[in-house]
This record gives sequence, structure tokens and C-alpha cells, in this order.
Amino acid sequence: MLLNGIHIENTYAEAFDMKATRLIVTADTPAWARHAGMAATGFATSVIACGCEAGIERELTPEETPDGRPGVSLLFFATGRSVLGKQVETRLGQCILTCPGTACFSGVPRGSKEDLIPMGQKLRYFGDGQQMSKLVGGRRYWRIPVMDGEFLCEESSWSVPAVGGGNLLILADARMAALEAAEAAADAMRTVPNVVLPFPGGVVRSGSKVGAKYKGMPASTNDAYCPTLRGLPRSRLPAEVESVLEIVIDGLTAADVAAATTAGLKCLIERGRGSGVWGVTAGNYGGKLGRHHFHLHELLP
Amino acid sequence: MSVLSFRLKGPLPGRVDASPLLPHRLAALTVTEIAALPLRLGRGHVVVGELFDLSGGPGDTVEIEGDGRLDFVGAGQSSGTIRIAGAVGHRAGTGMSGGVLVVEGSAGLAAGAAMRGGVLTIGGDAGNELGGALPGERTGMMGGRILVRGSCGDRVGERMRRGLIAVGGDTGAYAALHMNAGSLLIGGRPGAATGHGMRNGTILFRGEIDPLPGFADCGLNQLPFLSLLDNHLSELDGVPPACRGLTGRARRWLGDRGFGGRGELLSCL
Repeated sequence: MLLNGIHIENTYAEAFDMKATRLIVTADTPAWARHAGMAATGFATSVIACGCEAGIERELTPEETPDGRPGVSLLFFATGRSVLGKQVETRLGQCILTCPGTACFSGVPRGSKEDLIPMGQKLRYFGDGQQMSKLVGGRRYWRIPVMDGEFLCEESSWSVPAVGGGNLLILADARMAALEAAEAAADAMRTVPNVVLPFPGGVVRSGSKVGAKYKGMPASTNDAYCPTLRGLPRSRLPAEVESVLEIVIDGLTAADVAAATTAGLKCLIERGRGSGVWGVTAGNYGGKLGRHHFHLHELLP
Repeated sequence: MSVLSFRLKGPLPGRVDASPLLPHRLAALTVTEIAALPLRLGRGHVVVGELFDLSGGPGDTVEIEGDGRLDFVGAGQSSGTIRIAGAVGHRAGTGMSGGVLVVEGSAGLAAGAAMRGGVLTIGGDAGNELGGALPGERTGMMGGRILVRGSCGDRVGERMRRGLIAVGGDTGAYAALHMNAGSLLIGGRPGAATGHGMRNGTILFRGEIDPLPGFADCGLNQLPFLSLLDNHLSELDGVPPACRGLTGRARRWLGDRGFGGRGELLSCL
């Protein structure tokens, strides 16, 4: 299919069931909330080696946060509840507790005991006996004395079902054209609520396939989309494509991932062939690994 | 939603135990059956119909005309609403676990003692042992919320373990005696020996205090949880205005260290 000069391949992105949680981090200024959010969601691009995928969902105004200070909302995605709990615990302890002036709250509705993600429940021991808990409006908060005052942290959060691994591949004439298109598409996709783009700037240049010729490598380069290999028989790239970038989408529901995919497609199609983008496709594994399929032709704006 | 009203036929001849008049118990009865319910009056008994004129139908709300000799109103209440026009006697809302008990006038001794849940609102003053412990019990209030617009007597929140007590006016001596946890907000002046023997928990007040020697002065602090608490209070009905407007800045004392405690007195700015 050709839209505004851009080839939209008739394929689909394959995404997986994940577990996610949302944390609200507040601080004295938006900048310090951002610092905490950036650190806590750092090194969280892919579950292949990071343990979880995470990102800043959006910035929050003081009116939107529980303690009336500026904040950020963070989304964390992992393959299961226990991995997610461990990741949240270490990131909370090393990146949010340590950041000046922060407080941390759960950003999801109260769930069942099986879905519990410990926050203050584990972190309170840092208080070495001087911590205090307060039950306010049915939710328990821990107050941990720290050198700049007190760290306020909700006792726990809860995991919710989520979808991870939605994606778009942008095929462009040149590297800068691919980069600019990916940047614009990522900006458009970030406006969709309940999703994060976990890679740096939302963009991946080293898309991967499952497996490798070497033992012990769970994933390796997606050679079918590497332009330097486009003469090989298994290449999927036409001669004019010189650069490919991917945008990976994690969302709380399949509808959120679909909405982000549509927002990305809309942006790319509106920019048109003149922007240097040859086409858009998506990555999948033959449909056998992931339950969620996002067909590009069904998600056109 | 039907409302059942109890109008007093005249001044009570003695102290009456009103604990059977709970919405969930009355909902299953007809008005005639309710009028025939026995109530303890002094050392004997009297039927409801002899003391009250009944109107309306049984439902989840009960309205009672108050009297200072009407004791145990809402004691053991677990659901529904009881509204008292006027004052009540002793032990209103004792052992309450749910529902809403509104006393428009003042309450006598031990209102909300050993409370486990629900909301008790008192429009006037409260007597001694508000939200306290029943005699011989190791724990007092274990949940719920008590909101008093006026002042209260001695030993408010004794042995409290969980929940919130907000008193708009002054509190008597030994407020939060041996408190284990929970929050006590004082809109007026705290009395003598406030926090004696407290092990944990928070007592918030405005203005000056001369704390017991077991409290360590930790100076002025910015406490983020205070704004959270203030937000929460703003969403509730009936919170005394004097308890509102916490800025998050407070002078903090830790104690009672004479009892190995690490509770806190917070003088809020």
C-alpha cells in the first residue's frame, strides 16, 4: 500500500503479555522529579538484559500528584510480577530514594495481594528503626528519615496486565532522514497515554531477531533489515533504503499500543515521501511467540 | 432510603442504654416490634415506645433526639447512619466498627472508645477518654475516625493503635496516653502531659507546648506527609477547620523516650 508516497507493508507487529506498574515520583521542582525519573528508568530498554523496560510516561502538574508537588509518572514493564517487583525495589532504592526531595507513590488502583509490588514495605528498613508509617485514607505510607529531611513512600504498588513489544520499522533513504522521521514519530507517539517508548529517545537502531549462530546469544542483529547486507538473499530491504530505525512501544493495554502505532503512522504518512522515508513495516516472529498482533493496514490513521 | 426517627416523649427518667438502636438491627423489624424493644433504664427495663415517639420506617438511617442521659448510642455500630439531634451520654460509639455516627451536641465519657472503624462526628465537646481504651484493655482505638468540633477531656486516644482523632478545640491532660500508633490532631491547645508514655504515633497541634522531659526536640522540619494528610482531610466532611491548613512545616519532638518510644509531637506552622 502506498500512502503519500510511503510504502506501508501489509504485516504486523507482534507483542507480548507483560506485567506493568506505574509509579508517581514527586519532587520540589519538575527538574528534580525528572532527574529521579530518568535515573529510575535508565538502563531499562529491553527485558533481554535489563530486567525490565521502563520510561517516563509524562510529567505531572502539582494538581495531579498526591502531595501537590510537580512530578513524573513512570511505567515499568517486565515479564512477570516477581521480576517486576525486584526491579522496582532496586530502582526505587538506588534512584528515587537517593534523589533530593523526592516522594514516591503508586500510580495504579489497589489490586489483589498476588499482584503486590513492594515499595516502602521493603525500603523502610533503610530507616534502621527510625522509620514511621502513616495510614492516610486507607493507604499506608512510610516516612524514612534521610539527610535532606524525610523520604515519603507508599507501602506498595500493584502490577497490572500489560502489552510489550509493539513496534514500527522506519525505512528511509538516508540515515539522517530515518533519524528525523523516527524522532518526529516518537514525539507523536509519546502523547498517547499509558505507553512508553523504552529505548534511548524512543528509538532503536539495533533491532534484533531471536537466536544467533553463536551459542548463548538469545538475540542477534536483525540482518534482514541491515542496509550493509542488502545484497544478500535474505535481505528485506529494497535498493533505495539506506537506513532503518525501529520504535518499540510498551503499553498498559493492546488498545494503548494500537493508539500509539496509529499516532506514529499518522506522523510518518503526513511527513510524506519528501521527508526521505521510503516505507514503514513492523517486526514479528511469525506470529507464534506473541499473543498480540498489530496489523499496520488496520491501524492506519 | 427510609429514615426511622425517635422523638423523646419527655426528659429521660434515668440513664438509658441505647445500644440496641442500631440501624442494621432495626432494619429487620417492624415499627411495632421496635416500639416493644426493651431498653435498660437504670437497674430495670423500659420499652422503646414508652420513651420515644417513632416515625418513618426502618432503613439504614436512624435519627434520635438526644439527651445527656442516653448512653451507649451507636455502641457496636457496624453499618448505616445514626444521627443524634442534641447531646448524648457516655460511651457513644464504643466498639464501633463501621457506619457513621453523628452527634450534633456534646458527648459524655469514653465516646468512640475501642473503636475499630467507621466515623464518629461530635458537633459539641467530648468528655474524658474520647477514643480511649475500655478498662483493662491493652489497646484502645484500632481504626476509624473521630471528629470533634469542640474540646475534649482527659486521656483522649489512650492506647490508640490506628485511626484518626481530630479535636477542633483544646484537649485535656494525658492526651494520647501510652499511644501505640495512629494520629491525633489538636486544633486548640494540648493539655498537660500530652503524649505521656507514647511508643509510636503522631500528635499534631498548633502553637506552643512544654513537652514532657521524655521528648527530644528535633527542631523545625519540612514533612511531606503533612501535605498528604491535609489533602486527605480536605476530602472529608466534618473535619474541624482548626485542624486544617497544614503547611508541611513543623517542630518535631520524639518520644516518649522514658518508655523507649519513638512517637512524635508535631507543632505545625
